[in-house]
Amino acid sequence: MAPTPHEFSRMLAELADGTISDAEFMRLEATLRADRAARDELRAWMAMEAALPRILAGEDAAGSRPPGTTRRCADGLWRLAGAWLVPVMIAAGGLAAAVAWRSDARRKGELVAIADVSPDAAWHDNVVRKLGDRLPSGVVRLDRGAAEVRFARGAVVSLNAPVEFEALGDNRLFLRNGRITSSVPQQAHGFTVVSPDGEVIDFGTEFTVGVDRHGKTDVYVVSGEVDVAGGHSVLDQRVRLTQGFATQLEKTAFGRPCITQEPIVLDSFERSTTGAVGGPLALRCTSVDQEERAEIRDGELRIPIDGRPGRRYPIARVEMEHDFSVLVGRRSHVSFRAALPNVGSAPTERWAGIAVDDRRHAAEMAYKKEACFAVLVSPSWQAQVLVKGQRVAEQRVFARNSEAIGPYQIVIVLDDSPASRRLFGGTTLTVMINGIDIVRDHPVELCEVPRIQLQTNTVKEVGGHGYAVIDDVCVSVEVAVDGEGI
Amino acid sequence: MQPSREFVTEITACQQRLQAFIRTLVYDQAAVDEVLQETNLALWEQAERFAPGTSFMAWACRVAWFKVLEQRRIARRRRWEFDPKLLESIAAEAFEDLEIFERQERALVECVASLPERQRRVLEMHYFGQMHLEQIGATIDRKANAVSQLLFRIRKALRECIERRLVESPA
Repeated sequence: MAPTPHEFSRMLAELADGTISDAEFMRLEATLRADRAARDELRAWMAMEAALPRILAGEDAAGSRPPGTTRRCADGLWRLAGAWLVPVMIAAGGLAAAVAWRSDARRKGELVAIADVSPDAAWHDNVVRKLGDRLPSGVVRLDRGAAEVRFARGAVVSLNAPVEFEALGDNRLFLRNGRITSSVPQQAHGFTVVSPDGEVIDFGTEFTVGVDRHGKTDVYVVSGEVDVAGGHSVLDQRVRLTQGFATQLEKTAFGRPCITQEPIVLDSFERSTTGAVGGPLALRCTSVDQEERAEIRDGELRIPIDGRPGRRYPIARVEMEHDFSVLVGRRSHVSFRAALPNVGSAPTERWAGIAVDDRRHAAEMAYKKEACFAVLVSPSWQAQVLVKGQRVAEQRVFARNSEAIGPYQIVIVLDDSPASRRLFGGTTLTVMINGIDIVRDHPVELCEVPRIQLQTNTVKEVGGHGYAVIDDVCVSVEVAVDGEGI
Repeated sequence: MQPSREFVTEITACQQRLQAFIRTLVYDQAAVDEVLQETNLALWEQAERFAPGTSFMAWACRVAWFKVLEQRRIARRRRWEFDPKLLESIAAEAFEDLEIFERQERALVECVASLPERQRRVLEMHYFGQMHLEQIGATIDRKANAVSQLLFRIRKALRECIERRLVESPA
């Protein structure tokens, strides 16, 4: 029997969702076979399904991104931005949060009271609110002025207009637009700010979250710790930020949020100091197989390493000690750069790497687990590129000398060979460099043509101890430090 | 040979419509992405065959159609696959008016904009936030089943809205 229009629409929705039963699928097939109009409707429905994620992500019908949301692919580099997953926490914390969320939601509404309000505050619903008044359930907009609201569990949220949000319970808030600062006392630990891009889960802290009009989210931790999750499902990315660190969430071409800007280490180096410095900062350099003296010059740490041909794998280890508590409230960064000098014809296998291992300072750094990352630079090295697990080519991978390499990023430019272009579009990528698995099964996203951006969630440490391994070349590894307070 | 600027512009501009075209023939999202990738690769490799001034979209969709067939041949049979003749009809009919994808999407943009706030938010959570039905339910105080119903009703309303708008402004 032919389905009613309503039944037919339901079949299409279930087909799109992948939830259609075998029996219904056969019925749908029979209907489509018999009826041209039904086939037109299938086409229109599926086209709608394809377009909805983009439209909801704020991209227009032509597919361009709104101004201000251009991704960093514009410089033509493949970027591998290291992030750090905490899988166990994701599963356990996410489920707990989902359960808590549900029970909160049942009680939601009027769980938020005004703790302070500026005289010029104007709410979108034109209601004049004073100290102690309860906010209504649903979306609330502050069009002008400032206010402070207190959630039932004790979290206090400062609002500066324009801001649009909704209380999702006594300890959870959906921030649709604008910027808020949350102060969370101990009894409100777990206070969560949900944004279109992800979630920020507090562990006793003060933090700010901003959502711009395109839904882009940034997070800055004033004190304490928060977990930041890209997306809303239990398996999404999550990183822990400690005080002084910031990150940003952004939507990808296919609507999946990703963490794009890695936390920024706050720091200030004495620019004219030579050698190890005391006070809040100490830099110490030790070489594994040679005695070399590091120096700090013009804010840069320079470590000469004798990596002439014949000396295999010279390794240097630099330890950086720092009192990170002095970093609160300021924003700067530490960047790591490796430079290979020109030594004539470059051996194809030569490469340089910097791997940073913060395990010895776990308490001070942003990431307490899986925190190793690597910055690898070489004018010419061989990398194996695997697409969907299949090796497609030996790719030449290089970095331009003058390209800035930010902290926690690997910059790789793939050449213009057909095998490189094979990576175009949604697929997964595995990169091995000199036999070391750097990126495995990383999703590649479509970006500008022919420029493609790659971001990864996992970058494995190099060498086993987070050391750089340098082969057959004179190399100086520089650690450049710059930044300014905010 | 380096692809021409026009080719690069065209391939960039057609991605959304191309994806929509493939989605009408392939019902598994991961497979859609695969076909899109393979199509882009093929287009790129045959860039010199593109004659400026001709319909890039028609060419791209033809390539995509072959990639759909190729994928059906090489991939294990997926659960939701129509028989080849039916699929051929769907594709052939889509070729009759490829511009419809763009018109429908423009209408959809307007329809989404006119949705009540709450409905739009549910869609955002589903498509954009990729939240589970249970999670969406928690935010709007509904059971997963009710969220599923709501999502269906919203999508059905959007489809009707698109049709209305296409009738009002057909071109």
